[in-house]
Amino acid sequence: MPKFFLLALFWLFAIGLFAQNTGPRLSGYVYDANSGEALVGATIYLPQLQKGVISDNFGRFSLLLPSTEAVQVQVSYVGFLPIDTTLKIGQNLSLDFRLQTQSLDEVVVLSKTGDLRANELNVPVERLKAIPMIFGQADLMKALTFLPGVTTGLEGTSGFFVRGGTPDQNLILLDGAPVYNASHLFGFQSVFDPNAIKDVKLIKGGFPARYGGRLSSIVDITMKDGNNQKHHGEFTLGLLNAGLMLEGPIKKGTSSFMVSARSVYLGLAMTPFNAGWRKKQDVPANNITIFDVNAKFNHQFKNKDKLFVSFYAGQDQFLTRYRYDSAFYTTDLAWGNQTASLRYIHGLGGKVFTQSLLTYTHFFSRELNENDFFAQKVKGTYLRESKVRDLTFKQFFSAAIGQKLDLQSGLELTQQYFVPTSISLSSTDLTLGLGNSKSQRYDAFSYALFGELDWNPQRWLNVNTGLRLANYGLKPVQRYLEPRLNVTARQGVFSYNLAYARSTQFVHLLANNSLGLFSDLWVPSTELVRPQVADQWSAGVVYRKPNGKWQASLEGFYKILKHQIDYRQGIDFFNLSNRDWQSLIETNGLGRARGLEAMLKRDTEKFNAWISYTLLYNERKFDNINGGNWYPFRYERRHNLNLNLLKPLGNNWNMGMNWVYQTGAWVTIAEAYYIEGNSRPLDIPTPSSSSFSDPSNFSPRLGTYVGGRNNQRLPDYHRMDLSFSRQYFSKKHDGSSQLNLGFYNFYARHNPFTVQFRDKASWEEYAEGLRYTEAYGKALFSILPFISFTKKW
Amino acid sequence: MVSKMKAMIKKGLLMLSSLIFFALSQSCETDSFELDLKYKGDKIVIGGYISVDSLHLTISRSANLVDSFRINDLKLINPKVVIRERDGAFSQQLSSQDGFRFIAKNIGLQVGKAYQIQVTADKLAPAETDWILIPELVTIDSFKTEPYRRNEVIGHVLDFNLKDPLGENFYFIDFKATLRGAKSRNSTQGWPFDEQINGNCYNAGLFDDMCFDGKNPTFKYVVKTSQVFQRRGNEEEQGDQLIIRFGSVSKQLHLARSQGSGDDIIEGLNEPPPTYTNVKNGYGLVFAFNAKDYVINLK
Repeated sequence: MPKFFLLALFWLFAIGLFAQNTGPRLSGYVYDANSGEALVGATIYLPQLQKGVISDNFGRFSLLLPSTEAVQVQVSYVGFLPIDTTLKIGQNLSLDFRLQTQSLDEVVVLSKTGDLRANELNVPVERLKAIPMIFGQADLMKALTFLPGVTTGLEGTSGFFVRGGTPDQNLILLDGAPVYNASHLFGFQSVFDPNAIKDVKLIKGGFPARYGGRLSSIVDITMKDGNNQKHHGEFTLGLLNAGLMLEGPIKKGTSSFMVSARSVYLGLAMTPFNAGWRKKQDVPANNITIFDVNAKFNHQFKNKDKLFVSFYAGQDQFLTRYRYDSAFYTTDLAWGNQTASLRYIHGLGGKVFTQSLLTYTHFFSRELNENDFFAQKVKGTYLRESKVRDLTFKQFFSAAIGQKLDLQSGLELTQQYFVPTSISLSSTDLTLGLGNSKSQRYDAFSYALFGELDWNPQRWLNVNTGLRLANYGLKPVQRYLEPRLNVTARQGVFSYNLAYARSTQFVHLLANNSLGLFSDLWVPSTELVRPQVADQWSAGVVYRKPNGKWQASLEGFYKILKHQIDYRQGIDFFNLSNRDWQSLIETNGLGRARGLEAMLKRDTEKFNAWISYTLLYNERKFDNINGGNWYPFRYERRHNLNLNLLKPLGNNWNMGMNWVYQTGAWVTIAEAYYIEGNSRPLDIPTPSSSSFSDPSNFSPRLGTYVGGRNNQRLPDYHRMDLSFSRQYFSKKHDGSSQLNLGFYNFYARHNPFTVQFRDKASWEEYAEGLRYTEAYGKALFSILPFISFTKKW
Repeated sequence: MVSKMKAMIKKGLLMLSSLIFFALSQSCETDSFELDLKYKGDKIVIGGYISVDSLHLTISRSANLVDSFRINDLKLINPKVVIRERDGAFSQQLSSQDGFRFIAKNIGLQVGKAYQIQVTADKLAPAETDWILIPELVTIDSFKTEPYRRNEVIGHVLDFNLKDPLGENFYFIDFKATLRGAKSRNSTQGWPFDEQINGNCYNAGLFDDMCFDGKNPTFKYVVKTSQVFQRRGNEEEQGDQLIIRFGSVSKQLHLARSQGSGDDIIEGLNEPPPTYTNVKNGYGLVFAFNAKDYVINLK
């Protein structure tokens, strides 16, 4: 520990020392002039030097000025009118740029500039929102699955798999706070309300050292700060849910707020049916409550320091009550997240920025079963709970050193507690001896120190390298060194990239599938379950036409995963009721994934489209699964092709289309029938078993043979979604409305969700020894129309 | 004005309800469609066990899961079945009464030696088992019994010591109660006395020695006899006996049991574990065991 703090002090000292040795700088923020919202990813460019920077998650930038009297500065951002100005240079310049939006009736499309690394994608939220989605609800997380390297699990689910990883290996940050459960409605919708989101960034490889704790990807989501110029609102009414977002200044130009709430009103639709429950109490009653609440407050101090406070809470609850004979049975399933973050950004003369971040995350799931035997006046309850709680403090320092070097360093302290399963049984009948509770609690402390250098030794060369030292509170404390490297070289219209990253993850997800059900258990690393470790290498090339209208990228990667866990064969979540989870799992599993990703984009004001393709090989290996042999990962989609199109049709109509093609997922299915032996296949001839050698006592037992884990592929998955939206502008009220309608799975493709079997032989034929089994698939959705209406004011 | 608004709201709600109903009805599981599953072709299936004094095998062929067939069609017509010893001269072709079951006694199989079964049949690729070792017999010096009674369950608590040889060993235990010397048709249940203490060491009738390799552990089982004696008043009488069969088994049976067997087709989102086989180029399981019976007079 003392060594650790000495190292931390060294970094701080180094930053201070280097920060002294710089020339005049231009620093500040880029804002939307209408809303005062900071613009993430805006380009600030000096044509004389042919050098530019991109504004960060807070709209902030800093760059060194040349030793001339004046300098030309160009500031641009998609959907906004650029600024081209000349500044006189004296000392350090602190200047904010406020960009005006382009005319209202233009469609906001296009990608952001600066996409020179294929493993880092930053698609504008408005573009992601325009992608047709199931039930017509814009879903930023699902929209990410249309990007190369990102694949999905089962139909409709929002868990996503990046470069052969698993959903728990995605670090999903909402204003810096990790989100454990990112989906609602058994995974059909993500928890992020698009009306409350400003920016989404996906990093698939070459992770900067400031990020850590997960293996496969980083999804950095930034909530809207809130309009600090005028009050504004947005109301959305869809088939399944309704949402309201309000934002406005608290003190104009200085502080603002944003509040959004969204709820699924399926439960409301059930109200008439549930009325019977209250009246007669013998009618089954069901209720579904799903909501998300986001809130953010920000304040800019006179010295341009900034304070952000943000909060999120979301929950799913499914309640079922029914009467059978003389008892009422109630099942209450609930799960959800709460996050909170407090961030303070402080600038030191435009050279050094510090950022302090305190985050809190809580994820819980609960299963309550209550049996009320009212005739006997006995009530019994079974309660199972699972919880994870994180409290994290992060301190970042960033400094620009000369023209060529940017330095970031920081410290991260995390206190976590996990209760993978807590079970309590109680009964009003004391003679049953219930009232027991069984709970496993794990406290874990981890800390990390990182240093990151962004070095431009030549105009055409950028090297982002760093080191992250992660420590986990096992006894003795485990230390993990994570080197990171990301080299980008530009030559004309091409940009080449090489990256390597080692990552460590201290949490694991025990899940039987990717549905995001209440059965998902987050468990910590222990002495038996080691932290997950991944090494990833990637190399790619990006081509961009000078006018930015065409862009193509190609990238290959290879990833190794260590210390993976899975349920033992034949074991699942439901075995956890009376056993320690550690006794039910396989540990020290290996994973390997390799693939190729390609993307072709066309960005114009009249036509915006992209095609993405991923070739993926993804395998797992556990000593006691599949005979210790490598087997394909269930969601290894060998070929994954996405076509995404957005086109204005005139008269404020837009059309959106996506077409998805994926190789079918793997499943484990019996492949053959065979005679196992006598009535019990594996019985030793024991006194209690029937006599094997007695010919009159022999009845062949038919068994099914399963060749290996994930031995069959489901049929390929494909579908097309179509959407049409019409915008209505009201110049009088300075607002707009949007009608959105369309079809999910337009050509009604039956994509298999489950595999089932049925006997085709009649009872008579069966008795005569005939066996005729049919395998068939069931799809979840056919064509699904949707409609939603959004009003902005 | 108010009535107009009410009408509008009513109309809106009606529209919304219809849309929700339509969407939900569409979102339900759609009609099924046939799946084309891959099949590797028919293979020879070898099942059964070998011991020092006996051998029991069934030889058949597999069938595609989604083909129609009769169970009797899976029996092979006069396959050639050979058992041979590793590094030894012993090799014998086995004969069958019905061409399906191969039963032999006193053919000279020896403890500590490994054997292989080879099968050839018309129109099928030849198959053979891995080498199967007949394990050493580990004997029990003595058993202690105490009466056990809880509610309606009566039986005996049985405890004994085991001298486990060093190295990997696999054991099985089974119980049978008899009525005054006559064999009962009902099975007898036995289970570890205290699972908390036993942990995963021997919580089943088949277990390994991972927890006590080379040591002398004490085992404690509850053997339920009430099910057997229920027919005559749930009480034991003079002449009632408890038969215990305890012995060693080869690793193959342990692997098959711990991996699970494809007893049923598991469907939906649950998935069956892969089936263990020690037959190369075929299916099935052949294992070896070496056991001894112990008889205890209960009263």
